[in-house]
Amino acid sequence: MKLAELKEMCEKNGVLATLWHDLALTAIKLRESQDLAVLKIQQKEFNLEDKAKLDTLIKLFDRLKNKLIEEIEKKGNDVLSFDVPEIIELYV
Amino acid sequence: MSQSFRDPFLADAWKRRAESERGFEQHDRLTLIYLELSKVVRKNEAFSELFKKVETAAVKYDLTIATLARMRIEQSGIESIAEADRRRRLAHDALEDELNLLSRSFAKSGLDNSWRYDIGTSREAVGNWARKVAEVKRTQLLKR
Repeated sequence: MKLAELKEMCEKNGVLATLWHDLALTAIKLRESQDLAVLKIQQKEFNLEDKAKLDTLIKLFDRLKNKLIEEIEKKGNDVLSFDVPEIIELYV
Repeated sequence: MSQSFRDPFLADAWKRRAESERGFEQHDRLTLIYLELSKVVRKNEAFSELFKKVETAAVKYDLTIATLARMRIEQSGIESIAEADRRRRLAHDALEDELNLLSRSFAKSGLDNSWRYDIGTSREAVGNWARKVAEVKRTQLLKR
């Protein structure tokens, strides 16, 4: 199942819709934090707090992604491998 | 007609693969333009500040895209989304200014600035290149 199909399927199901929404939002927040981190590193302003925030978002993203894949597989579907960039592309 | 063209499953699989490869080539070309440009700048330090400004403008543009996407997902109000979109357009304008400045400086110094045409002149082409630059910077500076 392609990611766009997965999104569509999730959005039609209450529990999966919430899970997908949280995953997509986390992916985008992670991207924002990564871009900010790059800018801060260039300005030599990146600090431990920024790193901790980034690590937290990465862990949360992985947890939500694994949970969603688990739920989808329980329904007998396979999902093509995806990560933050593929999710972002669905919203730009 | 061969069996493969009659088989809708194979035809669809081939079409998807061709689309994917075209996408890969496009991304690869954009990355190459950036990496080649970086190489030229490393050999000509006088351009390093201007080049850094281009890189920074590219990442800032990428950030405005993510912010706009977040606001859409969060279903922020129409006015907030319009404001985020205005910021995205301004970031794009700033990026084009920096890019054109670097290109003109190259030309003035007798350096090849054909990379500017290779990037493309449409807003979409410049935006796509900027997003690729941001991706390379993330890969270079962050673990993920």
